[in-house]
Amino acid sequence: MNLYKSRFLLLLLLATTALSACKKQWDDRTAIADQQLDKNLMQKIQENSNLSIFAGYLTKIGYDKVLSASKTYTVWAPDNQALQGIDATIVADTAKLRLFVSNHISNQAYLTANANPSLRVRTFTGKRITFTPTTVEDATITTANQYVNNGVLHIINKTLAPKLNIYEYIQSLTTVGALHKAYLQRQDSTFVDSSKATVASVDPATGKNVLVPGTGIVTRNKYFTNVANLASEDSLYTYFVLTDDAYNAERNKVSRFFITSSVDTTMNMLAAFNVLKDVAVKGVIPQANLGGTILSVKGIQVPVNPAAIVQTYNASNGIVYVVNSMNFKLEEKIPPIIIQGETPTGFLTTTNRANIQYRTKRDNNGVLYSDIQLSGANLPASYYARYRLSNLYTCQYTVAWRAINDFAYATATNLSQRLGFSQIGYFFVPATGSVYSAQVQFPYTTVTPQNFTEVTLTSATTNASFIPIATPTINATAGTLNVTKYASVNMYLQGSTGTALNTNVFTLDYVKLIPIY
Amino acid sequence: MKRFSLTLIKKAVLLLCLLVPFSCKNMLDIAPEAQVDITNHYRNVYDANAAVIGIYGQLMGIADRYMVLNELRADLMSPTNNADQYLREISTHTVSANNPWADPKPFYKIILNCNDALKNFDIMLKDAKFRRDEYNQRYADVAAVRAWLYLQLGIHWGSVPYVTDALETVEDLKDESKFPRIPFNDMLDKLIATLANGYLDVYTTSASTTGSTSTSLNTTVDGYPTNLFFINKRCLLGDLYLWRGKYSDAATQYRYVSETGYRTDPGAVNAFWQYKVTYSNFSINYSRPGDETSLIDDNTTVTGWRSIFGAQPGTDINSEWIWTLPFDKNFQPVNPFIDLFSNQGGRYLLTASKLALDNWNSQTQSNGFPYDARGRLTVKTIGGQPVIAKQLYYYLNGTTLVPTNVLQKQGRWLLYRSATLNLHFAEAACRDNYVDVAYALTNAGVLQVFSGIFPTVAAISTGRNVPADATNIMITNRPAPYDLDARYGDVPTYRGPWHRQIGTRSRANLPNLPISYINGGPGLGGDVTTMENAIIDEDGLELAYEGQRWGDLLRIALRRNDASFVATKVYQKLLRDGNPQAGAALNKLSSLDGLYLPFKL
Repeated sequence: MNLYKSRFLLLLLLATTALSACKKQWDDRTAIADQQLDKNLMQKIQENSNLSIFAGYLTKIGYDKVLSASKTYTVWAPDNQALQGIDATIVADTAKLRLFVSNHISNQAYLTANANPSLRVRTFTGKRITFTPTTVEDATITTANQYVNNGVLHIINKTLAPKLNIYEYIQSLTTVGALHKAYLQRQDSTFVDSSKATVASVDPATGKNVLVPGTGIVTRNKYFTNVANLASEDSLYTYFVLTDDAYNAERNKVSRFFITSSVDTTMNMLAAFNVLKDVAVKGVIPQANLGGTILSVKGIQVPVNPAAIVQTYNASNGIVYVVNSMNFKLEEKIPPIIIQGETPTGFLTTTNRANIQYRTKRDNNGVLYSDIQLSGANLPASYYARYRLSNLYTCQYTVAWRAINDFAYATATNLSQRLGFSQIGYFFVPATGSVYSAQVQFPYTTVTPQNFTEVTLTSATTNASFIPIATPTINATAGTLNVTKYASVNMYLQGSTGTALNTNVFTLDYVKLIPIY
Repeated sequence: MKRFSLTLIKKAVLLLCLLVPFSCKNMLDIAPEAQVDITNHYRNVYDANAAVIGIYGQLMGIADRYMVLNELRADLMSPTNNADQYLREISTHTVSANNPWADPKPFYKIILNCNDALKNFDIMLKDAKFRRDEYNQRYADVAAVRAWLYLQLGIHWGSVPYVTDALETVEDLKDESKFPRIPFNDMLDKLIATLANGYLDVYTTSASTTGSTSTSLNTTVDGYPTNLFFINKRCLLGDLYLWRGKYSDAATQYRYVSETGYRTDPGAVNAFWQYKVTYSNFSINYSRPGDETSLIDDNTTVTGWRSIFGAQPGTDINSEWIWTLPFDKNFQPVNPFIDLFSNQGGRYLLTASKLALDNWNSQTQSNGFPYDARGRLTVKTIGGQPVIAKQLYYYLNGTTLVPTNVLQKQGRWLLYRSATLNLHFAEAACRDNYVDVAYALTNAGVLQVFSGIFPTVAAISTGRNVPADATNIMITNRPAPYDLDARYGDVPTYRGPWHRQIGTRSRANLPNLPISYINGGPGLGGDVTTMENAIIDEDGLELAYEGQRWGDLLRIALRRNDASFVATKVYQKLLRDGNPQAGAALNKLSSLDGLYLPFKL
């Protein structure tokens, strides 16, 4: 009995000895070897006498607690010398000071090694700053990568005052670009987002929510949606603001292609958009690199003359140049309209599907093209395919087609087909028979076999509508299509009047409407 | 007191320990109730049937391996971003030692089972447990499966141990002194010897019997006719000859199989098109001629090419399918192709290479459409991704291409079909210097090429532009096995067995290969290498992702003693996929030794 007891005690003793011997090593496993990691960011800033002003600001706005917290941050702290020159009004106003200081701090730890070649880091203001291995914005990093237990500190030699973004800058313009600014502001529209609105009750009849009026209203700028979001901090643009003279000159150049019944619609909506859709370019292009042409976000060549720049601003999301001229080419702004043969919107009948062939082929140069061909038994005489053309520019057009005749039942033969245009609301009632004839009708034209080139159509004539149209908006002028009002029209591709098999075949790769400038 | 009782317990435990071995001995000898003891495995013909079916069941377990090794190593298949490093290694020919796909053991496991079955069939025959004809048939089946497995081993690992003993485990094979690795050609000779002297008959649907007393293997199981399960021994024998360079012997077998329908019953409905590539069915077809959007693209219309991969068993499709095993939701193993290929309900590990798509798109159809429509039916764009669809047509809804039920992985492993047979026949004919016969088999058919007016298209009924008397036209007039008769005459009415045959290219709506390949007409010779290259290209267009590609490329490389035939194609695949290892693969594959996987048991 005693023997057992003593053995047990001995074992206990041994175990205790072993454990106590291990104690120090065991504790060491979590000990911090790097003394840097004993501190937090706030302590690190405070212990540097050259950052005393910045530390004071942090304390003033209560960020000392933020930077002592256990999340991870990066601070770009301007030294005392850099902060000497800042505006006294900023320091006096806590709200302004908070905004100013917030632009020097971001979530997460960013070391200079991460910025390869550069990073756009979002700061507490929501704006982004450009961080490279040696600089941040305009400031040079004098002491980099001071890591502590909740982040990284970089010491810089200039302040990072928050910049305006492109849209904020345009709104702040007072002396130039008034018309351009007014256009952008006009594009604001509001709508009710029911998910953000307050629900007052539920309509018992429909089961739908009844919203409290005036809640859930969201503003959206159509220009931002359709062209470039100038208020977003997440994309970089080079943006050209036109002075009023430049804007008027460009608008007057294109306005004759957008004739409507309202001058306001033509000038302030259609022509204005046509000019201003191409003043945004992706990325930041420094002034030194400007010259020649660059591609707008809409894919148009932007002619940039550095001599025309009257004002420059480095915005938080790009760069703004105010220019007093921007000589766009009409050919770029009012490009030819191409209608693909294989995209008709309708046919004379809906029962002739068996006669319609959609095809992909190689042309004589081995380039792929897609087209449509109508052929086969029971294809009615003067059959047509219809194409709805949206919003043709108001001008005279050179009309050309590429129709590839590779139809060879026995031997290659010529095809005969014609093209016509009718405005919506045009009715044709023929004198005899039932052959449709369009308002602006080109005559039957021969399509020779294996001709892969564009053929220009001529000798169009105007038909009057059976139900008279007060002021027709399209007509045949000088034997070609002339559009007098910015509106949609129908185009008709029509086969020959024959009904015999293989005599009324017709085909189309594309039609090109080239504005006559 | 305590001390005493402790000792007592110790003694009791010791005693028990001593007793246990004795008491257990008898217990272990009791026959298990839920399993059949090994001595009772082969008692009668039903047991033999179970062994044969069991071996085919095991074979289905390596379907994924067959696909990965034969396609991913070659030029038409590439790994997707989802693929792991092992699949990537197979594709770039940088196989690491522990790559599971490069392990030959799964093949040997089945081979050893075949050996065991064959050994026991011999014992059964000796003990008169089944009849000799029953023995012949089953023995030939299992021997053929084993030969097929050895062919696969030889294709991927080069020289491998050839074992016909019934070993217990694959581990026993590791003794290289007992089981040396033998050269590929030596193994082919042994396989040919085993196969050629055996029973070569095939099972036909007409001879299928069902019922509990039927001893036939040719029956219907779970709704599937079993005749398609069994390897076609003549096709396999033909392939072995083709690999061995015995082209006339190979062609003899191919030709025999091609005429199966006609030989069995010249009056039967499919007499003229069974096992031949004909104009009757499975062609690239447009319901509205000239309209691209009217391509027949469904599982059920047998006139359309896609139905080869989506049809249910029936007279028409049984004319195309030669060897195919079904995967069904109701039985194991699970279809591995869904997991490999499908991006819906599968992991989408493998897809078509850019090179494969380029190959299809570089063709022009007879109606001018600038691509081979087989490509559009083989690889479908689903959810914006190119998906190999050949194996998925039973799984996806035929129109929407959405799985009918993601848990029901229906499918079919199509190993051999008429097009495979036809192109192999053409390859044998080409190497036997009958380039015009090869040209006829690949392109437009015997009738057209030997019509006497080729390349003018021969009209045979309305507007007949060839002599009414067809005695001496539309027939090859070559020594057997190249004496193919496609005669079509109306006065008197005569239909040769080959008159409907048109070749894979015509069936795919592609124009003929240049007539210069046969020096302007039949009987004028032609360049064997040019024609052979064209046949291999055609193999790729027609049989992509059916497990033929690596074998096709390797066979040519071995025949020409030129590894670059494989290397340049794999290089092009990797290059066009933008794989930086393309150059390294070209280097590795530029010697014949570099074409094989490392053999490690």
